[in-house]
Amino acid sequence: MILLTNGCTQPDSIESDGDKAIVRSFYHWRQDFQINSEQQSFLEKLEVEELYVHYFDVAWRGEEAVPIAEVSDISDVDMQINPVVYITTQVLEHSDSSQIEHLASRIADKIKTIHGENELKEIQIDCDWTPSIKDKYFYLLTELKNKFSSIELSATIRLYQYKYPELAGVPPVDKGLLMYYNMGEITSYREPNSILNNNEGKRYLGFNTYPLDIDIALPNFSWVLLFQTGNFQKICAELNEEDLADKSLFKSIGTNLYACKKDTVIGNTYFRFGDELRLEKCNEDQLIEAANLLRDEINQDQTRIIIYDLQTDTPKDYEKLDAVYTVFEQ
Amino acid sequence: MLSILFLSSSIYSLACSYWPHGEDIRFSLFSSNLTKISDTEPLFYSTRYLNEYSEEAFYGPSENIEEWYAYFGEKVPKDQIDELIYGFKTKSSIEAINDNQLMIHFNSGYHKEAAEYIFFARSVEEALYVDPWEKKEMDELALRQLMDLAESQRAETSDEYLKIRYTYQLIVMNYYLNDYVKMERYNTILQRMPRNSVLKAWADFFVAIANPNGNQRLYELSLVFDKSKSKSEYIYKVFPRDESKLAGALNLCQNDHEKSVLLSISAFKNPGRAIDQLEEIAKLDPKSELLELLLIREINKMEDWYFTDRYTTFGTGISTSCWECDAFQFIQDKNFQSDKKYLKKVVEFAAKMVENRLVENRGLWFSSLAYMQYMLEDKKETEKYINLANSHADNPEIKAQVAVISTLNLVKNNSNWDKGFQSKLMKAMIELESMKESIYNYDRFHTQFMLAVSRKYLEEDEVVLAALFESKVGNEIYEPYSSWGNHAYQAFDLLNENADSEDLDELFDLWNKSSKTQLEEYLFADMEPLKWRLTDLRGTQYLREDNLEKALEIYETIPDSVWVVSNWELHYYYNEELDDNPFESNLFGRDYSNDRENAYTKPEFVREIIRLKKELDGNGKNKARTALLLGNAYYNMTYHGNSYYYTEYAWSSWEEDDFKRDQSWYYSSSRALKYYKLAEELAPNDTYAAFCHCLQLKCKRDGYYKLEYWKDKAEQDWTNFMVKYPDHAHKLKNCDEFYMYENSWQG
Repeated sequence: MILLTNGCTQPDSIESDGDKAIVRSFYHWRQDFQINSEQQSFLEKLEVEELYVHYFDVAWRGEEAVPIAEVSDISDVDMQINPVVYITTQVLEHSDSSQIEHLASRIADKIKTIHGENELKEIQIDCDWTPSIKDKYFYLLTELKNKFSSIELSATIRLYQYKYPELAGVPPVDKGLLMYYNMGEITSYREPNSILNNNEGKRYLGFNTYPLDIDIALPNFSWVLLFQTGNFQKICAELNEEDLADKSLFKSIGTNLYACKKDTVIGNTYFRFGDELRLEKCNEDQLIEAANLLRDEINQDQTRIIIYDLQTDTPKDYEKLDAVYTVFEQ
Repeated sequence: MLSILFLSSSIYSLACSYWPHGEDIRFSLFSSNLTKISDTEPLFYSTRYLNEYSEEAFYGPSENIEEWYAYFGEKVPKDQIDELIYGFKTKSSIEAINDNQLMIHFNSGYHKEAAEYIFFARSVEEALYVDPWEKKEMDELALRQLMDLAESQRAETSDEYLKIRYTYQLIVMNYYLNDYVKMERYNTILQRMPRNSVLKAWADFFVAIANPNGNQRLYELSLVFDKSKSKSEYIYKVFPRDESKLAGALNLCQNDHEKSVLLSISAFKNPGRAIDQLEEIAKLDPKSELLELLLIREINKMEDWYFTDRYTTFGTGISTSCWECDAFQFIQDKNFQSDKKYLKKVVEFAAKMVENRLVENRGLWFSSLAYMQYMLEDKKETEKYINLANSHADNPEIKAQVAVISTLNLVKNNSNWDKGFQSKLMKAMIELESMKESIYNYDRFHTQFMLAVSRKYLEEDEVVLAALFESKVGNEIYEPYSSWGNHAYQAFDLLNENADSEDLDELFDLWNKSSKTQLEEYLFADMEPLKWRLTDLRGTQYLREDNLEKALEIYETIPDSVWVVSNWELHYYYNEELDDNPFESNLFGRDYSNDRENAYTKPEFVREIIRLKKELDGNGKNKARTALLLGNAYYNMTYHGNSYYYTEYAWSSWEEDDFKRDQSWYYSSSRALKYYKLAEELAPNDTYAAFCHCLQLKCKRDGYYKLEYWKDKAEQDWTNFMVKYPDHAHKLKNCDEFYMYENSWQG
C-alpha cells in the first residue's frame, strides 16, 4: 500500500497492513440447511472459507428457556462451519445465576449434538444485551467459555456497544463480531434505509478503541416496510422487489418507494389505497462505501468478513460481494 | 421524527425504533366474544396473524373441561379439573397436586377409574414429550406399553365415557407411531359409540392430518372445525386464504352446511373486506354460528379502520406542515368515505338477515346493527336497533354490549352538560361497571370507552370535558396523551395542547363549584394532586395570550415552593428549567449557558415585564434600554430563546408542535420584534440603534420559518441592515464587540 503522507508522520502500524488476512465468510440463518449446487458453486467461486450457521435461538417460553428455530441436519457440508446461537434478552431477564449455569451446559450440549463429528473451531453467541442484563449475559459467556476452553468464542457487537465499550461493557470472549447493519430507525418515515445507512454507521466508527479483535458482518438482504399515512405498520414478509413491480397494484413514487394504488389483500396483510412501501436493500455502492469505512477499523492480523446471509437468490450477487471482499483485501 | 425533550410532557419516551402500531393502538368497543361458541379466541379480529389476547379461564380447552365437569356430577369446580388435567407440570410438587380438589375427590375414594384414566393420559403425554434441549424423541417403548394398557382398560371398563377416552388415546398413540391403519380402525370404533364427546372430533382431527390427500385433508379438517373449536388455531394455519384453492375440498362437501364451514375458515383468514364471503356463507347456511363470529370480526375490522387513526394515532411522526400532509389527508378522506360505503353495505346485509328472519341469535344481530348505525352516526336507527337488541338479548354479554352502545349513543347525541344528562351518564357508567364480567377485556374496554367520550368532546371543541374524560383513560392502549404515572396528567397534556384561557377558567370554575354532581365529583377525583401544575398552566396560558396582569394574579396563588422544589411526580421542573437570565440579549439565537443568579421564577418574570412596561409608558430615561429588555424577555420566552419553559412544557429540536392553540408568536418571535423596533426608534445613538436593529434580524428570520425562500429573505434583511448602518453591520456579524454594543445605550 502506498500512502501519500503529505509531510505528516506515518503511524508505524500502517506498515503491517499488507499482512492482514481476510477470511471470506457467510452467515446461514435458515432452519432448513440445504445448500444447493448453485449456492455451493457460488461459495466456491467466491472463495468463502467459513460458514457461520445459525443453530438455534434460545427463547423464554412459559417458565423456562427453550431452544427454538433449530437448524436441520448439517452433516453433509464440506466447509468449516461455525455455530451461531441467538439468545433473546427475555431469557436473561428471567434467569438467575444458577439457571444461567444450567443454561450454559444445555447450550453447550445442544451445540455439540448438532455439530456432531465436525471439527469445532469457533462458536458465536448473538445477543443484543442491555445494561440491565449485561452481567448475566457476560456470566453466561464465561460459563460457555469454560465449557469450550480450547475453542474460540465470539460474540456479536452492535454499533453502539462498539462505540461505547465503557458504557455497554466488553463481553468476556476471544473476539467480537461487529454487526454493521440494522443501524437506522426502521419505524421512521424519513429513514432512507434502516438496514444500511453509512451516514448513520459512520457516527459509530473511527474510534479504534475496542479492546477485542473484531470480525465484521455486512448485510446483503432486503425487505419491504409498510407505512400508512406516514405511520410505520410492519415488515411485509409477503412482498419482495418483484412484487412491487406489479403496476396494477403499486406505483413507484421515488427511489425504492412505492404507493399502493388500490385496496388489496396480499398474504396476511390488507393494503389500503395510499399505503407506502419502502424497499430497503443493500446495493453495491453502499456496501463498498461500508467496506471502505470498516477497513480502517481492522487492527488484527486476520479478520473474517461475514455476509448476512446466504439465501436462494444470493448467487446472483457474486460480482457485488466479490467487490466488497476485495475492498478489505486491498 | 419528533425529537422531543421530555421534560414535563407525558408523551412517551418511545424506545429506540418503536412506534406504537397494530394492537397497541387498535380501537374497539364491540366485544369479540358475543357468540356462544367456546374456544374461538384465536379467531377474533386482530392486527396480528392470530389473536393473542385470551380471557380463557382454563389451561386446556373448555369443551373438554365441560365434559369432565358433567362427568363428576358438577361437584368438582371446573378450574380444579383443568388444573389437574392440564395445569400441573411434571415438576409440580406432590403437595400442590394433593391440594387439588379433584385430587382430594379421588383420594376420598370417588371415581377411581377416572383417576386411573387421568393419570394414564398424563403418562401418554409424558411418553410423547420431546425435550427440546436433549433432543429426546418420544418414548416409543413406553408408548407401546401404554397402548397395551389402554387396550386392556378399554376392554375392562364398563364406563362408556372412559371407554371413549381410552379409545381416543389409542388413536393418538397410533398416530404418533405412524400406524394409520390401526388409528383409523380405532376411530371407526370410537365414532360408533353412542355417547357423544368432543373426543370424537379430536380423533377425526388426527385422522384428517394423517390424510395424504390435500383436498380430502382440508375437507376433513373443516368437519372437525365444525364440531370442535379447540383445534381451530392449527386448522386456521394450514388452511389456504385463497378460496380458489378450496375448490377441490368444496367438491367433497355433502351439503351446504359443510360448504359454509369450509368457506368460513377461509373467511377468518381475510384481513380485508369479507362481506362477499359472508354473503356466500349466509346463502348456504344463514343460521351458521360461524357467520355470527365472522360478522363480529367484520365489525371489529371496520372499527379499526374507522376509529383507530382518529382516536389513538400518534400521527405520522412528521410535522403537519410536511409536503406530504395534503396527500395524507386526501388518502385518509378517500379511505374513510370508502369504509363508510362499505359499512353501509354490511348494515344492509345484516338488516336483510334479520328482516327475513334468517338468523337465530337475533340479540347479536340487532346489537351489531345498533353499533354499526352508531358508527354511521344515525341516531334514529341506532335507537331502533338498541330497542330491538334489548328485547332479544338473551345472555349477559349481549345485554352488556347493548348497554355500551346505549351509553355511547347517549353521549354522542347530547350537547348539554346539564344535571339531567350527567345523571343519566353516571347511571349508565355505573351500570357498565356492574357488567364488567360480561364485557370482553374490560380494562381495555374501559380505557377505550373513556377515550371515545373524550374524543367526542374534543371534536366538539369542549376541551374541558375532553380533558376530564381523558384523565380516566388507562394504559391498556397507547394514545398521544398516555401517561404512565398519574393518568390525571393526561388531562394536563390535552389542555396544554388545546385549551385557551377561557377553557381553563371554565375548568377551574367547575373545579371550584361547591355543589358538584356525582359525575363531576368522579371526574375531578384524581385531579387534586395536580392543582398547582394546572394552575400554572392557566397562568401560563394567560402569559401566552400576553395578558400579564391576569397571568401574575394566577401565578401569585401558587405557593413559592412550587417554583423551587423539584418534584418529578408532580411535574415540578421549574427550578431546573428556568435557570437562565430571560432578559439577556442573544444576538444569534439560543444561548445555553446558565445564569442561575439572574434567573426568575414565573411570577417574578411576569412581574418584571409588567414593571418594565410601566417604565416604558412613563417619563423615565433610558427607554430604549427598557424596550430592548422587553424585546429580550419576549424573545427568550419563545422557541428560540433561552427560557422557552416560561410558555411551553416541552421543546422539540426537529419539528414544530402540532397544537390546536395559536403558537405562531412562539415560533415567529413577532412580539420581541415589536419591542426591538421600538428600541431602535428610541435609541440614543447610532451604535445602539444598530444593535437593536441587528436583534430584529433574528426575529425576522424566525418569522420566515414557514417560507420556502426564507434564506433569500434573511439575506435581503442583512443587505438592508448594511445599507442602513454601514459602520456597524460588519462589526455585529460576530460577538467581538457585543458588550460594547449592548452597553452603548449609556452613551
